[in-house]
Amino acid sequence: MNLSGANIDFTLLLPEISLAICGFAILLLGVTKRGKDFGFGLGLFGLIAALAFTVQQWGTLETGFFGMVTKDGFSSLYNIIFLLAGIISLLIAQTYLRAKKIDKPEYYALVLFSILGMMVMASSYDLIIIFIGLEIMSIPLYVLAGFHRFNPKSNEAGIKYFIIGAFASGFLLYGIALVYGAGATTDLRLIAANYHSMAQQAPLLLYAGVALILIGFGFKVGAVPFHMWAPDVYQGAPTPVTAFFSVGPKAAGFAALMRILDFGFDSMDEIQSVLWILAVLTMAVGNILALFQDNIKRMLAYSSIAHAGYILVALTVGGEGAVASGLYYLLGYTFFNLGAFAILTILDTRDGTDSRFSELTGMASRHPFLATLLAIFMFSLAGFPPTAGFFGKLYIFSGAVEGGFIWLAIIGVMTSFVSVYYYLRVVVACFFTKADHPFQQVAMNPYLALALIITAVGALGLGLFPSSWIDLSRQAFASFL
Amino acid sequence: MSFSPELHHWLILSTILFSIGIYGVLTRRNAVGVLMSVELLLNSAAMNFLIFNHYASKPFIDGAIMALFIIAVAAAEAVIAMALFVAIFRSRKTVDVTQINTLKG
Amino acid sequence: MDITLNPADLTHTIAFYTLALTSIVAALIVVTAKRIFRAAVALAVVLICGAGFYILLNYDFIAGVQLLVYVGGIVILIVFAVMLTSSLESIEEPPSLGRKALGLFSSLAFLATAVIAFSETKFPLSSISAEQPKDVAKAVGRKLLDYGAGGYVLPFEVISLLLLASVIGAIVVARNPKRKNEGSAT
Repeated sequence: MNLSGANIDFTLLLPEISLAICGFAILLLGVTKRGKDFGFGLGLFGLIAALAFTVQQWGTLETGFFGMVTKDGFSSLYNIIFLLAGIISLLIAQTYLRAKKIDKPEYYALVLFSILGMMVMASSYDLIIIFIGLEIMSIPLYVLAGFHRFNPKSNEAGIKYFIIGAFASGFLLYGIALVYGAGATTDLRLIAANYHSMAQQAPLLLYAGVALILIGFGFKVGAVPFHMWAPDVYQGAPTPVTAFFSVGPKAAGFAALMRILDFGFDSMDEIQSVLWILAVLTMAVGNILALFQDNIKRMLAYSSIAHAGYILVALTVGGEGAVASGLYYLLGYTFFNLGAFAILTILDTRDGTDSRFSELTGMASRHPFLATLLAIFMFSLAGFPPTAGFFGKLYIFSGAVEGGFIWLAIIGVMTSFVSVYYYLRVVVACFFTKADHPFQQVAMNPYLALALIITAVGALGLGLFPSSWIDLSRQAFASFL
Repeated sequence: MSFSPELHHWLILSTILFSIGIYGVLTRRNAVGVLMSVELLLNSAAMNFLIFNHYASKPFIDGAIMALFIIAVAAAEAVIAMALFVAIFRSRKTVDVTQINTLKG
Repeated sequence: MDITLNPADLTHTIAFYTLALTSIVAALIVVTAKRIFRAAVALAVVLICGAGFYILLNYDFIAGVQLLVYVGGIVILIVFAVMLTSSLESIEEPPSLGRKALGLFSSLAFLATAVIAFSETKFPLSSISAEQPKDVAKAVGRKLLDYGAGGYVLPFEVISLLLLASVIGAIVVARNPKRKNEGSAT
């Protein structure tokens, strides 16, 4: 027992600490009248500082607090994804919040706390910490979904997300309890080391536990059949929050799932067939239901379900190559999905919009630059070369073929052909549909422009130099084994 | 066979409570009722940790600590839930989850 | 059948079954009561029984926390939620048949799977004769502040952030609108 604490190395936690400090500063300054305006700047500062510390930690492999927290390439790459998602969604948030008159400093503090939770989730081998990280991530998200508190739709999104989230937490906890019962530990490293003796003694307990954990995270990443909340919550939540939703919690859920399934329960082969079914259902249902949506936010919700399906394919195949391609895809998805949502947010900043397809008509003639960017993001989502989306899918599906999952690859490719239709619908509405009324002007500002530049450069850059990025993700994955 | 409670009896008890909670979450109309059912789920999970702690790793207290964390999380969730319910009641005058369904394509 | 009439064992057994029966009945009331306030009272009963179970398992400290936080805090909060949403007197309509069937199916499926999983597992998983730490409260306190191997200081610190975030979030969502111009009505 060691209570002196003289040997704690806090430098390991610098990214998390900078987020926490900036969150507190925002809240404290928010009490004063003039301090309210610092929320955005401080939030951005905290995220960039955390990003700098994380990049600096790249390549190190350290554990702190006796394994309670682990900083390896895997957690660093995930932390970069969370922080990028945070920065981009913050850049697009301020204009939207001001336009809707809900610009409160607490928004930025809650985003920071939520990202802190995701980082905790991605950097631990202990199921207890992963669960606590999940809760720190989720509770601010419930609030953010309902942040537009005079808008009944936003309230509804908040309540729905809360009910589903709490339900999922219950399953996750029960699953962790069963795993704890089977092995008397919640440490994934001990579980991985003693897996065979545990599986011999209490196989069903372990299966039930892992299945419940899978259900819990299935809700979080939006895997079918645990996806029903996603369209409603995506549609009702304020658009910058939806942008954050579509990337942050999903990536965090996959971070935890990859650690749990590809490290802790790597030897559990039976899980592969369950993941296979989940992946096929998620890709098929997500892509097919997206065809029938009139609301772009709902369409993107189903599309994000489908993208979760592609990453589930990588998870099903397992092993270094496949998981690295999943990581690469997730990084690309962060850029092009957030880019699409950034443009949607810019459009939604105008009054009286409901993000319907019909609202896009005439955009190309009024804002040719924005419309072109939107087309690039849609091509990337659909997986056209030379975008990140194309190489991501290529790596994932070729990995599936190499791993012997030929049917999985075929179904994946077929469903992504289906997806081309609804992504092109957006492009057609922008460029080729005659407008019956003039397109309402949108206001640009430097922050929005910066967000668009980051996402466009990311989506194209990852596509133009895929091999160096895939090597990076391989490195990241190799470090946790 | 003995009637005195063994590990199996305890586990079946907590599972029954969890199943009742699942039923509640899926059938309750009142959002506050859904919240109560969720509390049943969390309570039963916490109980499972203590049961396994008692029967499977008695000299240690990791399960007890997990139970404490669960209680804290349950409190945090209840606070958020209450705030969301009050907000939606202001705008809709109802907390019936079957009537809160304006979000459709 | 081996019924050993050890008096300590007997009270233990009787207490277990009484509490179990009470908590199951109360839990059923929680999920089916038409008046939401009754459900809240039943929830308090379930949680108090939970504290009783923890005492039977020799975790007195956790039982105390359960009473203070769960029964004293969360149930009161829920009662407030019931009153603030003025559903105190309102009578909830029974769920539709489809929802009932779905709920019944899911919960019974879960119950069946879990019971099968438990009955197929060979317990005890580790030596049952081992001794529990004498003073659980002390052990828990030490472990929560322990920086060493197996210590929980990090989650203990981190969970304070969770509580802070929830308080801030609740205030943001629920506070009364002061400024009239805040928020657009659409």
